[in-house]
Amino acid sequence: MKLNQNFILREIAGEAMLVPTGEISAKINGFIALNEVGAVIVKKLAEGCEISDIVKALTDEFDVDEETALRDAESFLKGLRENEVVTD
Amino acid sequence: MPSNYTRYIDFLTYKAAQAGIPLSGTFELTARCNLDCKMCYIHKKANDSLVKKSEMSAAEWIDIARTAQKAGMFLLLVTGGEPFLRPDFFEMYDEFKSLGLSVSINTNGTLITEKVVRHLAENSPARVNLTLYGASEETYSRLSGDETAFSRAYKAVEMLKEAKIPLKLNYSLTPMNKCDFDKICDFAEKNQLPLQPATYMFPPVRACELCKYNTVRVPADEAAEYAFRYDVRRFGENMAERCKSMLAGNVIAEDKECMELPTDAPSSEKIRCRAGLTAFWLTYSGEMRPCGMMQVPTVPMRELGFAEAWQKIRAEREKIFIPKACTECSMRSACESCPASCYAENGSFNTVPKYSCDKTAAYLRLAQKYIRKPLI
Repeated sequence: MKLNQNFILREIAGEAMLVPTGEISAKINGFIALNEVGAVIVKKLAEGCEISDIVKALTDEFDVDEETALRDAESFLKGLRENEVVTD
Repeated sequence: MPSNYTRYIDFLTYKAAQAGIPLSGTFELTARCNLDCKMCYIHKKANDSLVKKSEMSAAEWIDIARTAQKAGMFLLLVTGGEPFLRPDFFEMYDEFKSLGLSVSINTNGTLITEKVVRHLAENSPARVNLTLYGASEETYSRLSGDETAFSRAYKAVEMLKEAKIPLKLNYSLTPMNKCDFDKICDFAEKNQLPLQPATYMFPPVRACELCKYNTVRVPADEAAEYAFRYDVRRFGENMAERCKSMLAGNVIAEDKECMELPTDAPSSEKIRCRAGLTAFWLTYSGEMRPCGMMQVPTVPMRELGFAEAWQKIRAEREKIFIPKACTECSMRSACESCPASCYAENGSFNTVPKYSCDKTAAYLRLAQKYIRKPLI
């Protein structure tokens, strides 16, 4: 899985966001603000990764079990796919 | 009710202010314009080769954008003059977009062709702010010196709207185009486009640097009438409430002009806006300022580099104080004046901007009449 190159990951004053560019910016006029968990997931996607890498990153960073991390990550990824943020 | 977007930007601005981050930048790509509007502070001729030589190159602007982006810039406004006059506009624009910046464009719209619209549609700006100068060829001719600009500007509005590119209309109120004010409001409403009329026009802020031009603006009380007229449209049934809260229990005397206030002393209250705090302006020749309406403070960014220039502007901002009389004024919550307008009106941050006082008092008298308060 990888981040669609038309999304630029920005980190400003400790806040992470995905800024659409190119053809995506015509569809999304704005940006996607990420919370702490979203930021960890998106940073992994920016490197290119599998779901297991994301789960590991979440369990390393937060006090969460693997099952919950996997479920939450998959839910988030569904939304990202729907908005063409992630390419498989 | 502010949108989620506005609230998030406010939140980000708050955090950027704590950290000294230049979150919003304005790049004045050129001082040249293809129009010749009489009230404009920055409209050198399109073919002015001397001015063209002093403009920063695309490579320079791209380098600045990269540096500013690394420093935390997110919001970028591209302006002029007329930015589309630059043949290398899209070389810069495409690069700004690729940095993950939210890019807005100020334009008069007259150079926006189908090709330009297609390019913007493929890589959309956050917003195009298109300034209309009238509602007829006659008004355009009288104000801008070019009657053909009328149809080109309105064609641009049509094309941008059809391409679903986010669009806001601006309108600068002057004696030469006030006759079209209502038509412009009607046009914006009919096309469901946001409109931001400028009823306060700054006096010549860049005349000494750029060009001599006429101080052509409507008298303060007339500016207030147009502002009030627009607000009645904008606020509709909430206008009475708005008037009450602006008056805040004060009664504005009918027979007095703005009180003679002690005009020339600073308070200990600092400038409150984002200028020099999280926002900067870069002129076409590389001067950095807190705000485009301020002639000072100004720092030569090309000599110092972006980082040092930004720190200097931040430091200079801390020395700007509101005039004492403004901090004690009963009309304060209704007044749109700011340190930039104080300086533009008087050449001093400490001095009360009388035109603004007159305009505010006139506006509040209209508010008073609107809600039928007794006059004294």
